[in-house]
Amino acid sequence: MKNTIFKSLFIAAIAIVFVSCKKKKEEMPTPILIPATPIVPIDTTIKTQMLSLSIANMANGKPADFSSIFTTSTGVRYKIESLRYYISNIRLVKADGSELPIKDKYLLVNPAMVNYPLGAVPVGDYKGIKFGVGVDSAANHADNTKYPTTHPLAMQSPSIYWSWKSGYIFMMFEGNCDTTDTQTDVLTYNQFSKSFFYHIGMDMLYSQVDLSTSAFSVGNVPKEIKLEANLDNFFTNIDLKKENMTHSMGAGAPLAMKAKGNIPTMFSIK
Amino acid sequence: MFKQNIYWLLLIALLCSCRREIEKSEVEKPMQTGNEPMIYAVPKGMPYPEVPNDNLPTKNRIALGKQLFFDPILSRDSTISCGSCHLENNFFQDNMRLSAGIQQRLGQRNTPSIVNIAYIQEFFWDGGVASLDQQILAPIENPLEMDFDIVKVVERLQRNPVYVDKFKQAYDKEPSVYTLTRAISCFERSLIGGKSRYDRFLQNKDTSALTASELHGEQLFFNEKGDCFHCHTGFNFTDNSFRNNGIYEVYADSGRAHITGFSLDVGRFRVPSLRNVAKTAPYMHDGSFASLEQVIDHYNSGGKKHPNKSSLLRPLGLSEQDKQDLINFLGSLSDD
Repeated sequence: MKNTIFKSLFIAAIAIVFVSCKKKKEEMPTPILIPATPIVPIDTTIKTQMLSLSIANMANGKPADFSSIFTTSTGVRYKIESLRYYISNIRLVKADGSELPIKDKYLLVNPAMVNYPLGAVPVGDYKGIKFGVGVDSAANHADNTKYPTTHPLAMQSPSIYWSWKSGYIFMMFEGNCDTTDTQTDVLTYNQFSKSFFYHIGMDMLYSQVDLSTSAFSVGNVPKEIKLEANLDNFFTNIDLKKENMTHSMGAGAPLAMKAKGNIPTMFSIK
Repeated sequence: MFKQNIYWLLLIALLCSCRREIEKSEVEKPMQTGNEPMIYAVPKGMPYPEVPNDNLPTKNRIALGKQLFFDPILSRDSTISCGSCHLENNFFQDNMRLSAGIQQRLGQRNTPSIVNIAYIQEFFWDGGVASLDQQILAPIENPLEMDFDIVKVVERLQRNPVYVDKFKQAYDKEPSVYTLTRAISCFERSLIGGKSRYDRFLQNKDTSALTASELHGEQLFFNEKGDCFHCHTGFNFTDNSFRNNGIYEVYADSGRAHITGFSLDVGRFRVPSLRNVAKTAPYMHDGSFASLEQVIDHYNSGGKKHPNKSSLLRPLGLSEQDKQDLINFLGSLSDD
């Protein structure tokens, strides 16, 4: 009798153990069912090719280096100390006019770097390229402390981020200039007397560049799009003598808006 | 008898095998000693704060964050730490109108207490930063505070074997912007206060915890006559809004407008918590009110004219006794 009780207890226990064990297994993800609608097979005939942007930052028809003296269209001499800007939301304009986004690609451009890889894209003819100068709103408000060190959106040294208001500086253009009416300022320690800085940022100053009439083809060899950024156009209707400081807000907001309008005109494909 | 024992043994073996399998799947690698998830100590009456899943508190993390908080390694010339202005034995503030950064550079706004910072969603007097982790970057990079560069702070920490080891023990990672900010925020969230006489009064329904004057002050605080409660509401005595309370006709510091660019936000600042308020003078974003008497007089007057001034501000007509009772009540909000 005792034996029978133990046996039945044992069987019941085993059953419970098995059931509980099985339940654990049931939590495993179930295989995804293939939908009834036919799936377009992967077209192995579509070839891809590596695409990159080479970016030449120019002023007065010369590379925008940190040693030359440049002149704005209104005749103000200046020297560059820093020039960095973000490019994001890059889209290739396909032959049919539709856009092919290069996803999650952020470029932090500085004159010391020339080539910026964009990854593999389908070979074929393209009408052109579009991109934003700055950082899109979603990334601009995301947690900037989470990126690995090498990511362009990670904190940089020197910083290109407003840590007191959580946002990227889209374009940081700094230097020194000659603000004398006669353009007779004398360089001291290789610098003009007056500093200038343009810190362009905030969502509403994210400018869009449309180069969709600059056709190019991607073929059998890696393709490099030669992009040129011309600082002469940055100064259109901006008098460097007087309009030489903006943090994009407060009294500097109108100047930043002017710069936002000029930024798209800086870019062209060569 | 023997048979029965066999059954029992088999049963135990089965149960064990099952459990072992579960454990294996849940714990991938051995846990660092001192890194078992724990919970923050929260006083009765206070809710458990929101804690990000990637930064659950552990002994190692809080200890590392605390060490970093008090280490001047974060400042350019290694002279000041977070704890230089957020004093440990003084409700994590410094009772200064404005605080000095490196080389005695004077800041622009009053240092707030960071007790109960775990309950705040938008940081600084103007709410310019949306997470505690990101907030940590600002004082490090502010030229008037630590005037340093977060990337260089991380490099310093990576060169320090003691810190490298502690980061490993806390996050199983190297010092980085990510782990540095997580460690400090993990420590800061542990600074939860809520053990004042007023809490005891509320928790224990013990009217003897407050004096008659304080009880009258409490009534004024929570009724339309004193009308403090519209903004200073809830367990942390703030609605976490940003308001213009009419302390100036012209604001030298535009406050929230500095972040948003909207003229309607000029002169708006965070409604601060009133916990420990009697111990954390001076008051307002610029520390311009030295005493609670001045603060109450200001609200009693209805404030100065400003287009953005909160419509809640109006002359209150409080008597001298009312004012004293309100101040006495505010004194009961201090943690022991």
